[in-house]
Amino acid sequence: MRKNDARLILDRIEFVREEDGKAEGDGDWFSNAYNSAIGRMVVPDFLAIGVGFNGIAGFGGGTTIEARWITHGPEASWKPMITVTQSVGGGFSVASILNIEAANYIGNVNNITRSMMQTSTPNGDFPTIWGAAGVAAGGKIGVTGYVTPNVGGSFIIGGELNMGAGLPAGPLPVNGAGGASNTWILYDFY
Amino acid sequence: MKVVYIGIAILIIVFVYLFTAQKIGENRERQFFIRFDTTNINGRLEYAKIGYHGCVFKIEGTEKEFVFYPYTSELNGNNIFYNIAKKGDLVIKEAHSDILKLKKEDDKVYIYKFRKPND
Repeated sequence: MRKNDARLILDRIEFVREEDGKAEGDGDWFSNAYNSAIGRMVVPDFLAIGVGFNGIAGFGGGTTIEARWITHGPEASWKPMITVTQSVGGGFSVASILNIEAANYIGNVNNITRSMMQTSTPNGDFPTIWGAAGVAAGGKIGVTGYVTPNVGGSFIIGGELNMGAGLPAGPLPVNGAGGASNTWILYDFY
Repeated sequence: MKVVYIGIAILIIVFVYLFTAQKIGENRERQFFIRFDTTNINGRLEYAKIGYHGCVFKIEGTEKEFVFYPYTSELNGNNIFYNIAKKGDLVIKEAHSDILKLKKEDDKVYIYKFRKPND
């Protein structure tokens, strides 16, 4: 190791120690307010807008593609990531939809990361579970709620507003479904 | 009435699923951390990628992967570990150390603190 490298590392270690000495909550008032519990309710940790299709009649699946923003935590940015979500489920939901989504991480704001957005059951992650209900009679408007278990025992809890075109489940103009899904990050502009 | 029973059954299944996921998730994080924390790491990176909602990496010549949850901060120029870490970069972390150093081929050093269980 060259002398300059050693100096650089030592300098940075000193910086780490200084950071360790800071009390939690240090920072400017805006940052503290923005990352407070109320701030995270006003501006949820994760926002997304997506489009997709569901084909569930008894059993089936769906695919959506989303632009997602992480608005809190050390990796927050106005730059989005592009994700794809693959769902399987039961019930009745045959629809082509636009989704507007908001979610919160139930845990320390400092632990929010962009990698939380990816759930891959083949690689060992627990899938997101979701339930959806809506009014559909040609047009469709509905809501979806979901929970994603995270490593460490915490959760991401979110909801979607679904709008678009959809078929009713029967004589009444309603539909509903539930199931599990995985999300993969296709590209991150961060 | 049948709809009510189905609703209750679904709720029970959901709660059992979430309880199980929470317990397994906690245990999994602890196992990942023990392996990462107790190992002296000093070697060239084979790959780094997203996994288990965090970061997975492997050192050349070793059998197993490491999983950790690095903090993106000024210490690393606000670069996410799996975005900046490339094959051939040097990864250094002493056992029980609070920091991991990533040294790039151009000699730049990025330092990562990381999440510990119960943080």
